[in-house]
Amino acid sequence: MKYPAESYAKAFSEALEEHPSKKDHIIKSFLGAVYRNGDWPAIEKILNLITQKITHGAGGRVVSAEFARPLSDKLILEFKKEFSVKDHVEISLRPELVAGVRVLIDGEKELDMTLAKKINKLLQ
Amino acid sequence: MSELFHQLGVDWKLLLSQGVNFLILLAVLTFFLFRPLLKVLEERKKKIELGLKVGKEAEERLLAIDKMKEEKLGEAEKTAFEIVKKGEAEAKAGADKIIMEGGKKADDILKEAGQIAERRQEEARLAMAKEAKALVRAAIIKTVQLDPNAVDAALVSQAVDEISGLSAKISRG
Repeated sequence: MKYPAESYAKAFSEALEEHPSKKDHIIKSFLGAVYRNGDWPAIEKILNLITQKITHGAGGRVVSAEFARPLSDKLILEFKKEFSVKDHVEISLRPELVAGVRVLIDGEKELDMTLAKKINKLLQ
Repeated sequence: MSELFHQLGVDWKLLLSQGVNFLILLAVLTFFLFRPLLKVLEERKKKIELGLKVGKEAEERLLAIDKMKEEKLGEAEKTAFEIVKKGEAEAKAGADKIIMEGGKKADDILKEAGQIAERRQEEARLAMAKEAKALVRAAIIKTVQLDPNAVDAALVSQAVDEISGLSAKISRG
């Protein structure tokens, strides 16, 4: 990488804070700069860092929830009500988890309530 | 005196001449026959004595050679016996060593075979355990797939409870 992902995230956040009215232009220029620098393969990491920075700036948490299969609306509501509106909740599907949910808060705290983990623990 | 010779029929003149003849004959014989003959006899005697002496020496030497031969044969026999004895001892030691090494090798092979058998047993046990785990895992997954929503609901509820507890802890902190 030409520049570290943290530097991209910091630059983007500061540009957005300084000129909130030029949001679209900043996004377009930023993505163009990442592409030109040849750091496009790391765009996901950069975007995650930007999301984390913006969410933390707003006093929220970045929550990544992985489910084994699509849940019912009732369960999703029950799950989401545990987080505030400031929190950024990402939901993804991973069938290999068999059942349950794996939650990662701010990339640090992990809560693994999946059947895959329970089976592994049982069979170890 | 001459009368007596005459009466006895002895002619002293004739006797004298015969005596002279005899002396001459004796001198001639002594000079030409006895002395050379004695010389020849003496030489022959010496030769015989020398021959006897040489023969005796040869006999002595033969005896010495025989004795030496006996001694040498005795020594050779002794040496041969020692060599054979040493050879036997070395062969016995070699055989013992080979037997010992063979025994050790056999022990090693048995030990190795035992280890291989144990390792194979352990591998078989691990493979069986792995297979059993896979079967149990598959069975659990199949069971869950019969009613996945119920399991999901239970697990998500547990997660929600955990998150609530975590949030409460953070807010208190």
